[in-house]
Amino acid sequence: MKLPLALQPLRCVRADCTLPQGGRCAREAELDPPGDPITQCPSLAREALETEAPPVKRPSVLPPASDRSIPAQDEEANPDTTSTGSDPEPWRGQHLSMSEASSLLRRSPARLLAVLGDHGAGKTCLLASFFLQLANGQRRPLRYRFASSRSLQGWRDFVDRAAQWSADSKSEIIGHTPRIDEPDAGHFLHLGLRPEDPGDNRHIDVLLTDLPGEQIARWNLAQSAANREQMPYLERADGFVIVVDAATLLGSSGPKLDSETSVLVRRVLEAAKDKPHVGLALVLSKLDRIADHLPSLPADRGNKENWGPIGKRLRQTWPALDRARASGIEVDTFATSAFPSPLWQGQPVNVVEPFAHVLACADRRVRSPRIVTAVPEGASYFQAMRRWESP
Amino acid sequence: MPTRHAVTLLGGPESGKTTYLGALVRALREEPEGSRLRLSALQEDESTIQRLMDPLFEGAYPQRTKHDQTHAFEIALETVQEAEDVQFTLQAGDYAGELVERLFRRHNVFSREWHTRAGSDGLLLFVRHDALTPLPRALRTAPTEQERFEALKSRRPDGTTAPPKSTGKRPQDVFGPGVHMDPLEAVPTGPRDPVKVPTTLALIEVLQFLRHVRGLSPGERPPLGSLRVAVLISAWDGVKDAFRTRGPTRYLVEELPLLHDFLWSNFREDDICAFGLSATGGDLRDEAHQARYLDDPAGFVEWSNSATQAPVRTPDLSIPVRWALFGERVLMEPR
Repeated sequence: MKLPLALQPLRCVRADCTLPQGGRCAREAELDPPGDPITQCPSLAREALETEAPPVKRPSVLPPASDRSIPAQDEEANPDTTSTGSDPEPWRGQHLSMSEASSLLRRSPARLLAVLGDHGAGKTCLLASFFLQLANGQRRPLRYRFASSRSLQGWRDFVDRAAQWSADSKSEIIGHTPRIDEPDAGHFLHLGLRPEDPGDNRHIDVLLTDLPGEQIARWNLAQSAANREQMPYLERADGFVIVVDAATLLGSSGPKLDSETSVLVRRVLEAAKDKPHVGLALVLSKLDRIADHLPSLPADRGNKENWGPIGKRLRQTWPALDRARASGIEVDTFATSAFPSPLWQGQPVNVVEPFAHVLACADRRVRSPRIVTAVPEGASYFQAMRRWESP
Repeated sequence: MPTRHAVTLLGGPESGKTTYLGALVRALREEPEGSRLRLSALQEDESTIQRLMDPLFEGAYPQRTKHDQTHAFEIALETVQEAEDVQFTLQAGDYAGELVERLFRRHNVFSREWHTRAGSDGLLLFVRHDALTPLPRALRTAPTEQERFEALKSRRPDGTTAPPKSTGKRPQDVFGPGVHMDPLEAVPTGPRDPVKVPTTLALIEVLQFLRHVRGLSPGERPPLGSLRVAVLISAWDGVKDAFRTRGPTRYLVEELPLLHDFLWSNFREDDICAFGLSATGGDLRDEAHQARYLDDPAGFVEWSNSATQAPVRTPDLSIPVRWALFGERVLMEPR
């Protein structure tokens, strides 16, 4: 009988020991008190790798070793592998867990963007459509370019599901974000971005939350210790994207949704108070379903009157947004349509703009004041080269 | 003293690696005059190399057996560059696209072989030209969000969109002055243009792993010349003429924007080059071309002139490999 996989590969220096093959430990009689030879026998050792991998410099973006799950080596499931030794994967490729996200956030200049909203508001669709625009080279007005991602498989799962959607109104585009109660469940998607300015050499880690709406609603409406424990990172967020289903807003449940959204804005205000350069994007999603109710996209998005019947429904939310503006949070409102039609039939509307807004706020840096230098009369050519500006 | 180097091939399923290897080895065996690349003496694994070439002798594409897919093999080559004799290995084998996909899905963790090949001097990334690639659009300004919103409102109940109304304007007023050399950025899409599903995510993940093994942080560009990346767009003969006239760099920018951005962010500009590759000069499934190929087995490689972006073509299939080792100076050699 072979030892269970988890205990392999054990090796004993004694030639007469058959424990690694499921037999008996050759020194069993010496153990005092008699017990489990696997834990007590000094002659047992794990088999060393045939060759050692060259030492590598681990980038600090990696999570600590204790957070990494090392997959079991199952050679029977992978008969094609020719390796006799392998490294654990440095990242999983799926959504990042809380501990993995914490590790990234300790590395400046990491940005955490909280994507909030009720169940069915369209948060995941917005994220998926945003990534698709990046992947299609349609990143404007975002002033960053794709550089890396530790959750590429998570993004690809979204993309695959979106690609299969065929506008059947009964089927969800991406699918409901399941609630996962494990303490280290994956709730974050990752993008590494580089500023498009070639002179800006930064690599900016951006974490985007992908949370189930029910969890957000519980946190929003009841700030119990348990609910706050599930979302402790919101106070660390550098920007907020609040997604509101515009079609529901115009329906019979609109007033209730407006009221809950206003509470959410106030929660954000509380979490972001005294923090500089925090952006808040209110996203009115599913624009394709209410396009007839909106004569045109407002040029001045900050004026409630320009939003027509939608603005009228934001009776509690708009004052909350005004209060957020007054506190220093940079607020903007966007109407979006993440998937107005199947992918092969048309483009989304406005899905990049909310993220461009919050990232621009988070990336705002204090600039040194420009030097005003007057060019004197009769100045030499060299003196005239200096910049002259009106004070 | 000869210097030892390595160049590694990477690519997804049916991306053209095997065909390229077979055509390259076949061409090198013929020892063309003036060639700066040659096979080293006898290879360790001559049978695998012969298996690559045999189908081409009959005008067919080589198929890699399951044995080939699971066992790495290397081709020992040598080249002379500026009087320096450089010996290197061209590594391929367990980069069958299925294994790239498997790595992406964590079915095969990063093995010792990956560690070895991560130390390559250059990477040749194979991407398959998509026959359904739409024609490039004339340069135009990005539609405003209002225009996209109007397009949204003009959708019919069945989800399709009404045809655009005539504006009465001249074409150049609507579409701009026409195709011309433009900054390396994807053309803005129109409201009714399809959203393309990215096809290079697995390849990007492999590149991230390789960089990680080399100790490179995300966004960290390795020293110039220490790791070059050649993007080989295979079956280039099948690309629409509009892309053929604008060059493979333009194809990379417009059709593979995520890969382009990833390479821009993580490698120096001079260490990235896009090549259009036709290992067999045409489609061997076309009987007329097959007959031509049996008579004159030749392929070609194209790249974009760095100054004018105009495409440059050569029948020398070794150019991408030599560029991966020596860089831009290979492309400047007289032809």
